Amino acid sequence: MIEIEGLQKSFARGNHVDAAATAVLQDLSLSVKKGEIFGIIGRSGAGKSTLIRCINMLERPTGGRVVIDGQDITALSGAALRDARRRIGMIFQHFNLLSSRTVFDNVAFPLELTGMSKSQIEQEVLPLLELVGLSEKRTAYPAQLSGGQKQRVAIARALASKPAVLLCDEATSALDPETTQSILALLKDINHKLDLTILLITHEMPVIKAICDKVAVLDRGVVVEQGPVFDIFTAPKAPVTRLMVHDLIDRDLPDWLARKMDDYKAGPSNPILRITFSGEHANEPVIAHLVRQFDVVLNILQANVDYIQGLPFGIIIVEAVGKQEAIDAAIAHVNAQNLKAEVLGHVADDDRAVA
Amino acid sequence: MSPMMTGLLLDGLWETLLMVGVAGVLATIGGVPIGIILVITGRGHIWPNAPVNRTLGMAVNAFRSTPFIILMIAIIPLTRLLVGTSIGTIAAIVPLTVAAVPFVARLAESSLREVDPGLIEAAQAMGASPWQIVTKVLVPEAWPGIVAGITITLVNLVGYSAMAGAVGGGGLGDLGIRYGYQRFQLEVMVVVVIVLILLVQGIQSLGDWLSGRLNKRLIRMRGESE
Repeated sequence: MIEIEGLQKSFARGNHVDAAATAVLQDLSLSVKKGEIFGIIGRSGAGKSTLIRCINMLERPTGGRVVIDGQDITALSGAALRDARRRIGMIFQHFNLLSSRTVFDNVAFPLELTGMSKSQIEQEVLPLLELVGLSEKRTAYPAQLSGGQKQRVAIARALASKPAVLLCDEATSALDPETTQSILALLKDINHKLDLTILLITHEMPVIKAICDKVAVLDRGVVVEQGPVFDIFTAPKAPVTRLMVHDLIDRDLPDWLARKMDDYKAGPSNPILRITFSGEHANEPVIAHLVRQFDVVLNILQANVDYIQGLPFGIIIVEAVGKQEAIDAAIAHVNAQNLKAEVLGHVADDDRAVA
Repeated sequence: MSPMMTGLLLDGLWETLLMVGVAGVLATIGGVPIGIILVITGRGHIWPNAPVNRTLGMAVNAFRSTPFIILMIAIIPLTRLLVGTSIGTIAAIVPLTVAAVPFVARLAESSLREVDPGLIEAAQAMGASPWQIVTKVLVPEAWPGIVAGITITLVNLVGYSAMAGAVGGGGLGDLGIRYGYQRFQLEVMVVVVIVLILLVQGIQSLGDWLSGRLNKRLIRMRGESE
């Protein structure tokens, strides 16, 4: 649905367009399938905003192509570009509603632009207000609405011209967490109901986790990593991605445990294991199996199970108490099962991690 | 005060209202489009055009920096061309309009410039043409500010209209000068000044009320929020 091929954008420094221009996007390629919710995440300054503005030519790319629904947007200008833009909805961080127009008239705005008749506009707008749950607010002005309501109006407005694609530019960044959830739920809902392709940019990992099917990580104008959200979250490769995922999934050891592992020098000890399980395996009773089959005692020190795109992902940190051979066999068993067990360190046996 | 004085006063008031009203309407019709062009031809706006922007800006500045009394005399040929005479109330409307157009243009420009660029971007993203952006986004959003600017212009025109007495324009200011100042009739002067104060108060209050009513950004929150 959206094909981005070798996209480049650089801004001229000062008044001179020369080689010293600052490159914001460098040879960026992405492919978004129909009906997909595709997220682009990056820290501020990564080029996210520029990227999303290049998709509907609010910024003209300096190189590369953007093809939407088979149409090369980069080749268009003037009236042809305006027609193409009507097929690309967009919502913004600060909603950008017209303060002089009521809720109804804001949603009617894109239809007015096409010269649609008043009665036809009414037929189009009312179901949209219904869809976003703002039917009773049709005569209110934006100043009378909360942030979440404003974004709902903006979503209805973006949908009015029946776009093939919806672009979301940090659409929830100005909202509180609760409202963010309700707006994300609405986006997911219209994605299902209308089979609408959604491309969103954000700096918030929870947004990606909540609704995206695929994600691309943008850093300094380059896509450093992309793929299904579950894969990126459970096995991040790029350092930037790891940092972002880190905030969301607690992989750190508790301080006291880390200290005990540092303190251990020699003598009898017990290993500290980290068992990571993801996808369908997460449903199996791993710990119970190990205890029963291998004669080891597992002390659970920390456990965390999360659901991403409906699939479970868990990390358990345990202290294993038992004979070395038994522990080795248990680790081998776990790794043979497509789970992952790593020895993080040791703690002294007489000074058990859990006293 | 004699009935004759009352008659003169009413005539003066009517002449002032006529000069200020007609010049105000004409200045709005002429000034707002110039303000729009000044904004949209600016760098990075929807219709960037540096030569137009610079030329128009310079013309506006030239007219604004010329003292009204000089402007009025300098454009007598134009006045004659347009209304056939350079003397009288109708003739005075020409220089008043010429002086007020650039004033309205600058005030409209500053209101239009304050329209959130995000709104223009949103309209562009929805496929709006530059003309649609002007008529459906810029002007409606800036309108309360433009109305406030027109109010200031009208108040200024009341002041300028006193000088229009110099070309036989009549009006309250002229009455005050001829009877109150030149004939030492203090009471006429006082009455004229009081009427002018009331007039300016009235214009300002009406303008403020209208601008406030039009400004939907100041509308109070009603009902519960999400």
